Amino acid sequence: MSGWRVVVDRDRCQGYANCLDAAPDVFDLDEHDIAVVLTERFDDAEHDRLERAVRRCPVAALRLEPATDRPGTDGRPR
Amino acid sequence: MAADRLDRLVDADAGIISRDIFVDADIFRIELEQVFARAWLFVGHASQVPNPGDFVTSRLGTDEVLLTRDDAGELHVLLNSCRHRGMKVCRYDEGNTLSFTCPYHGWSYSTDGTLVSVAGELLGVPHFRPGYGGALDRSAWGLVPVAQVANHHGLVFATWDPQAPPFADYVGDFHWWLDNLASSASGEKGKVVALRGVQKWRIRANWKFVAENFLGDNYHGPPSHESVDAVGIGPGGTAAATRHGAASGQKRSIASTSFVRLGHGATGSAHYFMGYPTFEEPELTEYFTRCFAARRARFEQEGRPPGAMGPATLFPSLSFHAGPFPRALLVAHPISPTETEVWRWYLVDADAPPEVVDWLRRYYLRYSGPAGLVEQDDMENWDYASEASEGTIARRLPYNYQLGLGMTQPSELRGAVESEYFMTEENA
Repeated sequence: MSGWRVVVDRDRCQGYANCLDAAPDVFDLDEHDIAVVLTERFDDAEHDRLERAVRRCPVAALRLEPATDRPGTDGRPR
Repeated sequence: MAADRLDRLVDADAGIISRDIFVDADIFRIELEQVFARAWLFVGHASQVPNPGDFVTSRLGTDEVLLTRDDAGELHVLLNSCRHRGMKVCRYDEGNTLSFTCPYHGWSYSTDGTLVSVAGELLGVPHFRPGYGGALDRSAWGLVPVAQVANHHGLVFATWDPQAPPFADYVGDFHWWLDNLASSASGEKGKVVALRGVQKWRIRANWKFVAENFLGDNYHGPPSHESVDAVGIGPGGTAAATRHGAASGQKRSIASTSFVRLGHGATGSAHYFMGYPTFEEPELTEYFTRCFAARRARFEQEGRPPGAMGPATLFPSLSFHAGPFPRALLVAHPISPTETEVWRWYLVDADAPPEVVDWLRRYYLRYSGPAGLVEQDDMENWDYASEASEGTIARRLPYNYQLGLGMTQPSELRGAVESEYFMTEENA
């Protein structure tokens, strides 16, 4: 499977909102001010834009990884 | 300090000025409040931020600011200090971003018009809901913008004072000098770019030494700068003889121009034309000959006076050579009564061929900046004059500003006078 997904480490996220600023169509903050990703899977064409948004996080709470058909991860860094 | 004491420091009729103005800490603090927090100050050149998201850091007096271009192309000038604990939200000289995240606690400010309504508005507040109960008014805690911004053909100015007069009124008829500074060698307004990189360095001198040096001080030229002409740093080398490139034996400026109430001043007048330089290098001669011919035609057509070449100072701290040759500017940022941070920009035609840009870069750098020969001459004077004026005995003595005193006549320019002799200290 091609494509990409963005994983949020909910323990690290502090609600800085930089991801939202970088890609408002991709990110939002939930009721606890934790980042949520609005789309499950992204095309390869989106990779560079997502990577820029992921790098904007001050506490490295975001990870961009290849999308697979495996069931979801636990959201923690490997 | 009472205003009457300030009055006693300057006797304009007698041409006597107290040294306290150049060394006293109380007077310096008043200058920061009454002059630098209110005046129109130069921020940078629009060509430094050509694209949406581009930014450069700059200074307005003692305050650090960001000059930004938002996603709609508008220019903004914002105080580079987080509203939470004052940390610099940006520590780079230049870059591209539509948001600034404070490295200290992580407040984020945006200039993206799709996310915020005002450039610099606070967007991201960590723990906004759990920590602040969602009650922090983000619209009230954005990066502080200046009160007014003006873009004069690419020269960007700003003031903190909402009551400051419009930029055009502040400048008055001195605009002829600024127009030339903002024009290409062929006289086209705005067709100019700043060379990449702003030179920044500190000198042990009061900022006013810099301002008055450029606003009509013809007096210091021969004794201070004879050596640079002797070694031939100008376009014509040792053969044609002056650092500006004007032909030797040329008629001296008949006047200096002083805008008495506005505070601006210049060597020469709007009509005094210093002449075009001659170059040692044939390709430079060819390029500038073409430009200067176009400039003559354009000025005639647009009704612009042939002079207004400078050196000149826009009150309080922007000093420049207006061109067509050379075109360079500096801002003397006050740091303390006896310390000044100088920032220098060099301008070239936007469409100049690479060899011309390269030649100008080398010329500017051997002329100006911390390593430039002419600037070094000046800095020696300013530094030692400041140091020698700080002494307990020395500071009791006034400076003498009697050169050309009372020898002025009204100018055709609004609010200006011209000196009758080509050397004068009336401007100061």
